[in-house]
Amino acid sequence: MIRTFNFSFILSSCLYCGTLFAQNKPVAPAAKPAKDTTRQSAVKKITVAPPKDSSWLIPGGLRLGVDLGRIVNNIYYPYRQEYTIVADARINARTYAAVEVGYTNTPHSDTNYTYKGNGMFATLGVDYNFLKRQYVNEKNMFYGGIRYGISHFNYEVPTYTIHSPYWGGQLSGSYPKTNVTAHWAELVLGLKTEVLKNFFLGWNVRTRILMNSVEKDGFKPLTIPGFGSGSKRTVFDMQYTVSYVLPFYKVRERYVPPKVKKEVSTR
Amino acid sequence: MKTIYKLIIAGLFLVGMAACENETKVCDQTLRADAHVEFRRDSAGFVWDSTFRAVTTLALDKDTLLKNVRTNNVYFTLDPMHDSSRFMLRIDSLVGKDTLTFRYKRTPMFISPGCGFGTTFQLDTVIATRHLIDSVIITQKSVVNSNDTHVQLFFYTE
Repeated sequence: MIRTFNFSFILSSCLYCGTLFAQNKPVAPAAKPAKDTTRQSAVKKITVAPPKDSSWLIPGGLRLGVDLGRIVNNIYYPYRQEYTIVADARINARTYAAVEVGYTNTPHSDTNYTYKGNGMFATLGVDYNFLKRQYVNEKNMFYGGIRYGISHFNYEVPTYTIHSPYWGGQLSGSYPKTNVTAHWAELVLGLKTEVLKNFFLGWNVRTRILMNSVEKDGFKPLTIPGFGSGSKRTVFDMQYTVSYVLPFYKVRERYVPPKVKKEVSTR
Repeated sequence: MKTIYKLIIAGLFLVGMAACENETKVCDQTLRADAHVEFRRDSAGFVWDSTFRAVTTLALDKDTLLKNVRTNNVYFTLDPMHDSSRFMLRIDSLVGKDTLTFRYKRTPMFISPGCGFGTTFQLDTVIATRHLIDSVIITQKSVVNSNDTHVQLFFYTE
């Protein structure tokens, strides 16, 4: 935020100064002056010499981490025991390939039913870093990303009980083990900050949209591993990650000349 | 560094906010799958609702469901443990009573993580004694909620 403010302040200051200079019209000379060889022209054509080496190396590497948010989640949702490993690798200066894999166990038991479920999940996608680097080696990120998620899991109800207060009895039954595959799309927005050398803390918010139905015989699972609630088509979630970069490669970044705005001629 | 701490705290706060709903703790959609029965009279093809002043209903050998209530419709709680249920229906304390027998198929249904399972019914037949009831029509065989009318009872016109 401070950096953004500074940038905005400097940018607006430059624009303001530019506007002031633009409004100062040159005064027309009364008479043609004699050629003065002692003075040099005030307007000198500035030419920027292109750098000799138009590309350089920036830090790359594989960033591996875990989602600590699942621990908080497990306090609020005891029936969602989820473990997630996150990873990303730099493709170029701003783009990262991102992968997440995990395992979810869903044990639940109350007076009405017991539930067992477990499964693996994975997401695959890309992150784009919107943050303008202040120095070449900066690795902090403010990013947006998109993911495709897939989960294969099973669930069953070993026992359920239907109570009938009026008839004075209860009915017991079970629901057999069912295998299901779920697919979803995911949008991510988050931050990653290098707090120690190659060690990152980050968090992100994300929305997931389920793309297929996971209901079998009118029975939806309690949770879909990696997705969240089994009874919703759209869910919101958060991740809080700690991660470490294994800097075993570098990415070459090429010089891109800044775009020069064409001057508008005024009469 | 201060910015980093602010971001981390904000992140933790949001995690806390996001994790407030435990679906297994709240039962917000209880399944009420009672057979809904409406009273009718038919006179020369002209059908109208019939309200009785003291309706009493109960399952045989069970507690009363309704006792001397002025109404034109009743709900019967079907037995989820058997494939038939028998009820007594009396529309007035001064007149005789009828017996209704519901025969159906039962299907367990997962209601929600908080509510667990319930039973839905598919009506096969409804049989009634003919003391005051003239005829029975099943209007909706599937009993999955009590908003629909499942059975219409036609009473003799006086």
